[in-house]
Amino acid sequence: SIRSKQITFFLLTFFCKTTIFCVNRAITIHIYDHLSVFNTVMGQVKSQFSDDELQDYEDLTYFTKKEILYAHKKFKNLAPEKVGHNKNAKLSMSKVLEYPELKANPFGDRICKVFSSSNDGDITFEDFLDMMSVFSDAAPKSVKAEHAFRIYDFDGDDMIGRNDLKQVIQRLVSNSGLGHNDIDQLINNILEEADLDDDGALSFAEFEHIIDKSSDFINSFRIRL
Amino acid sequence: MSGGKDRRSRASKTQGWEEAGGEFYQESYPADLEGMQRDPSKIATLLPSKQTRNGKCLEEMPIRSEDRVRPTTRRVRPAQGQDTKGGTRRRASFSTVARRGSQYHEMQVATLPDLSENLINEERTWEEIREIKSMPVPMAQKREMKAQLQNATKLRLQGFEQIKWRRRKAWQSFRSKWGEYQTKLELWRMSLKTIEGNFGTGVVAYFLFLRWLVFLNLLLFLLIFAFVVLPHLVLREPSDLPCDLVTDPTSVQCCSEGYDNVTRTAQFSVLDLIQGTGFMEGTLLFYGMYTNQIYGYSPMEDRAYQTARHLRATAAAANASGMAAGDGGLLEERLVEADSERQTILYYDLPLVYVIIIAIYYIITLVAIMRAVVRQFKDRIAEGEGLFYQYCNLVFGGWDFCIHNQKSADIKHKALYNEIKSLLYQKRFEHERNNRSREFMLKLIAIRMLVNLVVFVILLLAAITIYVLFNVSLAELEPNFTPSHPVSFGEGLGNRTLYMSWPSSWSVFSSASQRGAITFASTITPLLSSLGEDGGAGAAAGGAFNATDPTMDRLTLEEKLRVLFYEFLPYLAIVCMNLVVPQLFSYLVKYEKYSPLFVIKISLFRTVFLRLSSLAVLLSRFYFLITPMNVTQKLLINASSEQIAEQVTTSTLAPTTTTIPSTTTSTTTASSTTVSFLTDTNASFVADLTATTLSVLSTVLLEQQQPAAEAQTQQFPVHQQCYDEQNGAPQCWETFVGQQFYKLFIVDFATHFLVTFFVNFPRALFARHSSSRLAKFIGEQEFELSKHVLDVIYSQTLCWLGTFYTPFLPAIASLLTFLMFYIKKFACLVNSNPSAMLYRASRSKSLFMSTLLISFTLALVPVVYALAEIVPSRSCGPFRGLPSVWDRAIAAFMKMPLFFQNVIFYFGTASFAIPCFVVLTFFIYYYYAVSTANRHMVQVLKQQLVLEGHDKQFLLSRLSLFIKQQQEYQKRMMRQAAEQQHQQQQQQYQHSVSGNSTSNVIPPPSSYQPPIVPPPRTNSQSQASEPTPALPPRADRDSKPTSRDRPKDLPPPPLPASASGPSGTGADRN
Repeated sequence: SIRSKQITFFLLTFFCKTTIFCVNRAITIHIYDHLSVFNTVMGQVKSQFSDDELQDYEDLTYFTKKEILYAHKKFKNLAPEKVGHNKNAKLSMSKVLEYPELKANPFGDRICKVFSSSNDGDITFEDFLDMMSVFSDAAPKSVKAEHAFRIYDFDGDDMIGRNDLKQVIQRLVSNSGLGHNDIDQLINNILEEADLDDDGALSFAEFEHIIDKSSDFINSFRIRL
Repeated sequence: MSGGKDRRSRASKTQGWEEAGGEFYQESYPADLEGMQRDPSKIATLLPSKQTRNGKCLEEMPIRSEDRVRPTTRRVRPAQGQDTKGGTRRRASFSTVARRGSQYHEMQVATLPDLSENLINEERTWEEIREIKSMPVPMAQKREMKAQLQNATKLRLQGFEQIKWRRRKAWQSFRSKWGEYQTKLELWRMSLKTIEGNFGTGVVAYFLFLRWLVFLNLLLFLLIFAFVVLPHLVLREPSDLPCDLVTDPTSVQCCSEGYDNVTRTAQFSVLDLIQGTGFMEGTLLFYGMYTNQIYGYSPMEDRAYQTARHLRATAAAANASGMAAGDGGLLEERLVEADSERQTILYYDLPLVYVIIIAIYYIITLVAIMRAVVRQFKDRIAEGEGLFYQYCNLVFGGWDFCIHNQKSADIKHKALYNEIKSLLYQKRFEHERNNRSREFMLKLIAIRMLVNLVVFVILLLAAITIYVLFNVSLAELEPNFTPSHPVSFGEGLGNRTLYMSWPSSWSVFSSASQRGAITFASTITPLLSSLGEDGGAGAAAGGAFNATDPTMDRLTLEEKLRVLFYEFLPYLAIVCMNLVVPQLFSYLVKYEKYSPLFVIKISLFRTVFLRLSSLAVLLSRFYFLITPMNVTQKLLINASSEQIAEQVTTSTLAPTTTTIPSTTTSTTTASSTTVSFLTDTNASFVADLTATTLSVLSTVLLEQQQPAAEAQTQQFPVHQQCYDEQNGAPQCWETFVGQQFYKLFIVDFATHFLVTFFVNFPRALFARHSSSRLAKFIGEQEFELSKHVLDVIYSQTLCWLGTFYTPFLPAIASLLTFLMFYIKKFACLVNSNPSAMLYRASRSKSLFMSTLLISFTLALVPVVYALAEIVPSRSCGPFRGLPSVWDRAIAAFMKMPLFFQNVIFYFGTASFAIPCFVVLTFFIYYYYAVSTANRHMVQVLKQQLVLEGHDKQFLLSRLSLFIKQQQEYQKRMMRQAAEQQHQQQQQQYQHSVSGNSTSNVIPPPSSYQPPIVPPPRTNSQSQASEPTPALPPRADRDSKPTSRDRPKDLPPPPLPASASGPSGTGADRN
């Protein structure tokens, strides 16, 4: 009937309006600030990078140009003056560890060391970009596994041995006081599970195998830009 | 030598091992001897298996450039820039992706024609550049690599290849652009990041799940909107034939008009907005307002309608004056004629679309859920050997790298600690469980059974409470209402009542009158409230009974509120129970001593059952409300169908009275009445637009001429009304059910809103600003994932149940889930602290999806039953006058070409089903056999791996022993040499004799003969005993495997200095 149609129309427009309003709000709140970030980034920093450089970075990381500029902004936030003068300035490890995700991370220093091109934990922007690229969503599992292996390989002997495992566990639980017995037990269990060739340490192949089967790794080994 | 073949052979692993053997000792071994002497176990890193991942991909790069025929190739040595400082062993260990990728290339390359084999083309360069990003080298190196690849000369692609490549490139850039926009438009990106930073990935999985539900509901609503709502709004509704109250007051038209009149009179009020009654009932929000007409476009339509109307009027007049049968038949014929004018038009069969769209709705939902579940399932299967990698998963995947909040990090540490503890405890627990004493076990079993019994009783009580409250509320709202199935209900409760020593209630109750029922309810509710279930509501219900019957004309505000209260009473009860009872369960489960993981599962399932049982009670309540009316409806339909059968027979007997020409041919052969009715309707769907109406109409017309038919109707003392008014059944029960779901949904949402903002938020504030322990106890909340998941899944189940009756429910669900996101975000970020329990993304995802699947299947059961079995009401909806909703779909199916029908029917026959079954069984068996074989193979390979590992260890120990001996030997030799020198010096000093050349000839040690002759290179190297060249620059070491693998094709590993000069390359190549 006509009346019912009118009412329905009214309700529908009401519904649509509320929906559009909500969606709009969401977009303006969450995307606008994103956009504005990107836009200001584009305005300010564009001069710091040439198009070729950006193209290179885009080709060589899992990021788009805008994300690269955004990453640079984040990098710049760590040391505004220094990076303002030299876009590829080298920041000391303690400076880089102020980045919130790395600060909270028990493996922050290891991450810096692994990604540092000078091997001492100091990070340039390019290293930072490498890091964020590996931790991004787009990076495939194997790339992440590669770096995770190096992060967990404390003594750098290309094997994750008992000592490495012990350090990993201690860093994971921080100072919650997991007893030595428990740690030993845990290490034994891990090796029992994963050490296929029974040599008391995890080689990269074994590690990759674990990562392949681990359903959580790909989700947890990730830092959103 | 073709590069393709060469590379292929290199890819095979055994080859690598063998080749590696030769030069292994000569090159790698001495290079690292210094380090090795310090720690012999380091040898392990030199093993070929350890080195496979080094340089492999490096190898890829240079091969390409050097396989080329051109002599002036630039050298691609990307690893050169890197120096090792202070002896830190850091190798450019290249990713295995690249290796895999290159193998893929090899496959590709192998299929290419020979011509291009040695040359690199643009596409491959492009692919390689894209692969660089996966290499774990610093950016500077990557850029170098890219520049080298770009500057290298390459073959231009021609023709089709070029187009293909262009297309790929364009597609790639489009995808990256699209990805960028997607991330920009991604809903709640920042919120998710914040939540992730504070609560970890497990909780974010929940919010992602919420988002998924929003989109799913939105999509489904768009589907419904496009195909059901929009046509209804846009297309002009064909007017139905007018009602004829004289002849058949229960015809579909009359019922519809009656319902229309009811809905039209309603005025706007705010209360209706949340109840879905009144004017809301008259909107397209609910099932009732959808038409049963078939939309069509025809210029003739209006005229046809007018004719039909006119004819109908004359027919009525004729009937009234007692016309002859022949004339009636003639009129009928003309009517049909007029009707046939409408046939040749485009039409839109809304009822059919309605049922099909609903079916598609459920199918899409199922597919969406199944896709997610299957993904989880795959993960589970991949996890494979049970919880095989749980420790590794915990340690290597335990930390959420996304956490950026120090406080959360602390809690995460604690959570990990707990998880590790509980894992270890579980292992011990299993051990303990095996050693439990029998007495203890018996006690435990008894406790568990008791707890289960208690849980069952609680569930039962909850169900009964809801049932009673529903009765109470209906009794208050509908003065005509009587409990429809009082006997069975009474018997069920009688014992309980007696047991509770409440003797009066039974006698009161047994008089199954309306008042009795209410008295019963008033006695039973305090009883229940005394059990602590629902005190306030029950008491209020009891107290309110003495109030006067509401007369709908003059309602004071108080009474309005009272009505509102009763309206929502059952739903409030349900929601309250959902809040209270799970707490009880979690308290009870402590006594059962299950393992921690199992506790989560079992309490979740109990809660699910609680929620679903309350829903089930509600549904059964609806069912009993509807069924009595259903009986009359069925009788009505049967009556009309029998009348039709009568007509049909009479029409065949008397050829002058051809009632429905289009149908007679098909129906004369039909014997059973129902079948004749069915085919009649089916055929009439084919024939015209309003055949159902017409057939009933024709019945009406013929009724007076056919005494038999008259007798038929007399036989059924059918309550000549559209719905079961005496039993308080609603006029349009579908809309009624829809309203209930609408209400329930809104109440559910409102409770979440209120509880979050007005209960939990003050609690959290209280806890935060007060330091007392009591405040902490009251106020501190954890974000319990399973509870919140249940909230969402419950409302989603409501949506699934109600969609058929409230087509707008998905839209409402989508909107409210959208708002729910913010509520839950608030609950998560502001109200609660991170949980001390570790929620892992994979585990929680599979939890969501499996629970969702369970509730979906359970929700589907009543819906399917209602569609297939329950008679739709006569006065509303697209299916009025049909025996069931599904009939419409069957009718449409019957309209299909015969061939198609036969094909479909063939699927249902045994001749198809049995072979199909057999084939499927074969397939299952085949895959089962394959999987067992694979599992066996895995076992064998694992054993082999272990054996090889032992071999390796054995060899290593031998090797390190050998090295030690070597060292001792050298030391002794040195000492001897020193002694000799000393002696010589002494001799020189004494005799002044020079020119002794014995230093080159080493005398064998006197005490000890080395078992193996030392390799000469080692000897000479160590004799040099210079400290510096022990560790050459890393680039050099890295490239060694390369040169080892391809001794012929490649130049020797370049020194850093020689990289600049390309002149040497040509000469080196042999």
